[in-house]
Amino acid sequence: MVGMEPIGSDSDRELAARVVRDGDEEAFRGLFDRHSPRLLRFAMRLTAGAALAEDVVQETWLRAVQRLDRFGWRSSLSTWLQGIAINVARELLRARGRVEASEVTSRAAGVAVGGPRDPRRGAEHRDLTDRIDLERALVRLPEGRRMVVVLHDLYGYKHAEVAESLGIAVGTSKSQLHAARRELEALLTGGQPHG
Amino acid sequence: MDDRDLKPALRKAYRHAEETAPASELLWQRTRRALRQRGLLRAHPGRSMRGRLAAVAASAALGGFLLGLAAGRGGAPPVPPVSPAVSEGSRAAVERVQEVGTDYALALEALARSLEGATSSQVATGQQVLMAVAGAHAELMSGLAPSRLEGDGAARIGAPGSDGAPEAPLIWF
Repeated sequence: MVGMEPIGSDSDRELAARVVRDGDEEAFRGLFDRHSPRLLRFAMRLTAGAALAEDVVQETWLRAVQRLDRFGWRSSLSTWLQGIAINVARELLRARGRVEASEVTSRAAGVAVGGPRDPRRGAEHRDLTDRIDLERALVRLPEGRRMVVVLHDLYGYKHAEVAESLGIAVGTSKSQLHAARRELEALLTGGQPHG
Repeated sequence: MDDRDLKPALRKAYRHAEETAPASELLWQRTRRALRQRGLLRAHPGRSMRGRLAAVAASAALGGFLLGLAAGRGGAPPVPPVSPAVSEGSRAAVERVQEVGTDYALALEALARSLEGATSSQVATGQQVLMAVAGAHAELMSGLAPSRLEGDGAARIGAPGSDGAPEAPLIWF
């Protein structure tokens, strides 16, 4: 097949150019394979649902390819995709009627996740359960707090960037982060969340 | 990251957080399908756009070459001199042939330029337009049949040979 050069060593920019110019499916597959795993994890944390996260990834790629010819490469493709994914996630969550989780939801999820009293928790499994615990704990956070803590703590966004991405005030981002951290700590250690 | 108030449990959980999640083949397939449906991906990219441009450019060059042969003077206006015996009607026909041929070559050139940056659907549309234009011109040229011009005994390139050699035939395309 013409245009089937090896894609593993091609830069994002080279692959993107082939997608824009020729609709080159092989080039797109290269981009997809390179960025989707990270994008999917990002979406899973934002949406707290695997199925919805896949919808986010699909829609993110769709919008990205549609706008790829206008992408200025002032940031990395990965960062750009994340920005699109945030908007897509918010739209899909809104469309599916998910609203900011109530205090009831939050407290109902207050059962410790793999806390110290978990008899299965041994030192040899500690790293694995830590990973699982974080993901499961994130799912239990209200949507707004979850998005803030994910963007700020796990992906290094600054409060101003979080605020801009989510359409909230910087002060709200800070307060949401504080609350989210307290709640996560409670979930991870088996303590009571403080709301 | 502002982690001044991070407790050890949270700090450790962050440190071990997974960065990726395996994207399933199903996700790839549905994403690809969505992109194909919107014309953003080509299912089986055969000849690349570069190849298409080269083909169109070659066609344009061939068209120009044949036009030049037909006109006997490189294919571009002004009209090259023909036999003095050519009647006014035949001269007009020859001019028309040149104009049509030039239009055809220009159309090919314009298409080659417009293809740059075009999507696959635009390329397909362009090809349809090209075929329609080429067909129309071919029909027009066939209407100016060489036999008619030859019937006038005039539409030949170059003057009749003084030594009685056969006259150069009109080259048609």
